[in-house]
Amino acid sequence: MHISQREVNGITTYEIKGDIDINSSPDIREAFEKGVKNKAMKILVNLNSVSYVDSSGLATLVEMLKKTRVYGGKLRISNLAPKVKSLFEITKLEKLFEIFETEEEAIAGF
Amino acid sequence: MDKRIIIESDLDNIKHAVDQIKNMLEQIGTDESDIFDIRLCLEEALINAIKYGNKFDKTKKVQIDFNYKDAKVTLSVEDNGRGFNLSSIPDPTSDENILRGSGRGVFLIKHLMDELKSNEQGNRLTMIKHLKLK
Repeated sequence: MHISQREVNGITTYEIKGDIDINSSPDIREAFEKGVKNKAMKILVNLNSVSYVDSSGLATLVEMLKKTRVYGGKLRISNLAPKVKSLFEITKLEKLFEIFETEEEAIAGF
Repeated sequence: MDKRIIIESDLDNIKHAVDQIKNMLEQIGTDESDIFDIRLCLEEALINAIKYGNKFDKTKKVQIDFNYKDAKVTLSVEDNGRGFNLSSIPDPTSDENILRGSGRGVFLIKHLMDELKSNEQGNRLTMIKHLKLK
């Protein structure tokens, strides 16, 4: 798993490559903690290169959302692979997160 | 086709065990969507067995039994723990649980497999999936 972070026009984007599972979740949490520390108000998580997420990965994303909400920040998710998207639907997390087809759509109106 | 894999209770052992099952599924001609579901369910079951069943005690083993017959995969995961009641798992999609950090593993297994049952003690989980072959 590899996670990169960039900030453009006040939007902090995390791009994750690889699996989000019990092994990679601690690293993702650690990378995200930096954004939380800086109270990033607009956070986008691009999952374009993620083809596998397990329940630990879903929990990590929920944790990210909760931490962002504490200080009034917003978190959006984009570019979900169909099977990953189905996990969000089964667990009803699609209602909790703002999910967009593309990064451009997520950024528009953020 | 049958296969038994026994691993020590260490999360690092999960990948190798799952890869062996995945290879067999590929040989059978299982489609990618079913492989995704079975991989996820097996990993979730193994994490639970190691974490909650055997409490990371490496002297305790986890046994995986794989059977394939008539386009049906049966997978069992057994640990040495006290077991749990499948019906006692809270619904992670309810309003009071949706923000919880855990509790989605067994829920996902219930949805992605065609059948899920446990033995009386609750330390052996059996998952069944009817495959869509290529």
